[in-house]
Amino acid sequence: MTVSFRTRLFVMATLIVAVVLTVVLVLGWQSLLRNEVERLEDRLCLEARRVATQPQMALDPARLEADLRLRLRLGPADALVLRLEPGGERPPLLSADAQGLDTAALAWQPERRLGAPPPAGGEGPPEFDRPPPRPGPDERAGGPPGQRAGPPPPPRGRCELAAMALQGADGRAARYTTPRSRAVLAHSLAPMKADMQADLQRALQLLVPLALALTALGAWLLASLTMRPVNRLRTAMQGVTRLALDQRLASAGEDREFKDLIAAYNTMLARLDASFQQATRFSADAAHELKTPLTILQGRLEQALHRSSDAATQAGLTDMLDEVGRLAAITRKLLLLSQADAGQLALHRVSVDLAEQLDTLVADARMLVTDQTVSSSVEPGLQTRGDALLLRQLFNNLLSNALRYGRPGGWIAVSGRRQAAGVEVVFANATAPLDATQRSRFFNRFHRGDGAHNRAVDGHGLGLSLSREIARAHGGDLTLQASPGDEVRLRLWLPHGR
Amino acid sequence: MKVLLVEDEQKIADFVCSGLAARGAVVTHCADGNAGFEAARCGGYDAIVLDLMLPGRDGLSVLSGLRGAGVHTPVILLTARNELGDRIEGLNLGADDYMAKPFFVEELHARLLALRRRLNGERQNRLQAGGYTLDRLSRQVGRAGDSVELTAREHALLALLMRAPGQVSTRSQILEHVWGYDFDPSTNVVDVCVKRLRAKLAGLAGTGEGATPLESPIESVRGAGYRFRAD
Repeated sequence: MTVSFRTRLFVMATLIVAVVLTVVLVLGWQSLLRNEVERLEDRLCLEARRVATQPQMALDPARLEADLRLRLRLGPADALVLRLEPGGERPPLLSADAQGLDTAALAWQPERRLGAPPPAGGEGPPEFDRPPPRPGPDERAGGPPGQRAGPPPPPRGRCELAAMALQGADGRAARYTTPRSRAVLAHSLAPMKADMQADLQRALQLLVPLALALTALGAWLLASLTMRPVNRLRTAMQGVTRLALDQRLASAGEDREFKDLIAAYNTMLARLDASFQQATRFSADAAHELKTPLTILQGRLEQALHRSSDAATQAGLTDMLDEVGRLAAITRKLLLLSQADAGQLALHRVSVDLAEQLDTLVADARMLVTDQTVSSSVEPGLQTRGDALLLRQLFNNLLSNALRYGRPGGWIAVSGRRQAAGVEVVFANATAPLDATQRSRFFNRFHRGDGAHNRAVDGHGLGLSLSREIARAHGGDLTLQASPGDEVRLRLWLPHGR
Repeated sequence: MKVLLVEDEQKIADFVCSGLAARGAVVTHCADGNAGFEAARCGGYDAIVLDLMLPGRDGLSVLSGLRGAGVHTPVILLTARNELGDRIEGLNLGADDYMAKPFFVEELHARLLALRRRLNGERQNRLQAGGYTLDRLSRQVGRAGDSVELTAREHALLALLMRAPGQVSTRSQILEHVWGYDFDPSTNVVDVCVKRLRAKLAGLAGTGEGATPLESPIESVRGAGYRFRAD
């Protein structure tokens, strides 16, 4: 199966774009996720600081949790861990999801982006991982300190972050530590991811088909654009046949690559033309050069034969004359073939009475066969326009072929009839079984089949090849038709010549 | 018959001249196109045998020049090179016949005679030789009051042989003249036709019963030719 260049370009471009799109999406998703997680961590830090630094007496666990859920945009079902160690003697405040969680065991990393200074000395786990020190008595008295002594600057603390698993999903935890209190906030990433996925899906549903459609359209247009000079070139090349090898393709206005291609093609054409001219001229010259000595030879032999009265000498001379005749016949066929190959087989078209030609041919066939039957069904008055001499040679070749491949006791059938656009003549004969290889060599030059039983038939193996060239020069064709293995059917078709 | 031969190849000219002279023609030879053209234009010839490849002026140009100058002497072209194209062009230019090289002088002579007959409107309707009479209209051959009808091929063959009794016609000549083949047909069609013709002649009254081919009026010249017995 051959795929068109345009289709291939189209498929390849679409595939490339699909791969690029996938890579971009994966990378983009990851960086988006990282960004979102960082923002989440920031928010967690901020919220942890708020929780850790807000006045202690206002602490109502339920309200605090609800407030946090609102700020962190969490649904009531989402996991939220809140652990507030208010400092002093007070017990830690735990949200429902924080029960039984050992937040101290997480791998805490200091958070740097919010500008919180790293702890001095950078010593490992901060002191508050140990049982918290007792808070001062003033704090136990309740009431926000800020209400008593004006708004104090929020106690400087530091935020630490950790990854943790929450309800089977990734989660992030932030811990804000002030000298007096510490808050741990954590929640699952699942809601955020779900949000992002939903957003992405909405975008992709629009984006991916659009990108692919645009790519396909682009590739198709690009391919058309690329193919345009190629198509132009192809059309021009098709115009160059063996009859017009002197044509050259014009490269004006083409792109550089195509100019090179056209130049290469033109060079090839020029070489082909030169060798073709040479071959044609050679065979014409050779035929001429051969014919002059042949003519002299034959003339002298005829002269000698004319003068001779001795029977033995005459026999020898006629033998020689026959050989000269054979040589001349081969020369003539080769010349005809070379002219046909060069597309220069000149026809002297006249009105030809095919019925009459075939009838005399069939009469010859009846005369020539020994134990074969010859049948003929030719429409009376069958006519065509063509070169009478060449057609006579063609029919003779078909007959001698039928005689050559004829099987003893076999048959030869000639039929000729008018068709809509031309004339059809079929020569069929019984033969020794022929295989496909033998059939395929039928029109080969200098090929002679093994089936030549008839000693009376001689040939150079040029006959059928020349016959086909004659048929083609008339605008028709000579073909070997499909037939049973022990039958040869040669079909000649000639158009109604104008 | 006065014939002008325009042919540059001396050896070809030699045997054509002597061959036609031996058959009773008067031949003038020119070796190049210009001389040939001048000779032909002056007239006085019954036929012109014109080679196509000539030094000075080629045959087709000579032919068109002659026809253009109102010279209508019959012309037979001798072609060797690119023969089909030249043949067509020659015939279109007003040649009356053409012969492809190599050719037989005998055939050339026969064609010259045919041309003259055609020109004079005469036709040999009866041929006689060796006691046989060939009627060219009814295609019947007769002897001593008995006659037999011949096929077209047999008739043409016998006419060729009877026209020049004693002269050998080779297979190629016979093929060209009787079958119109200027090519080798790769069959022994000539021999088969001669055999049948002999059988028909042998059936005529006055011919000995069971006559052998040796006694037939058509003699084989061993190998490749036939001739009609001269006596």
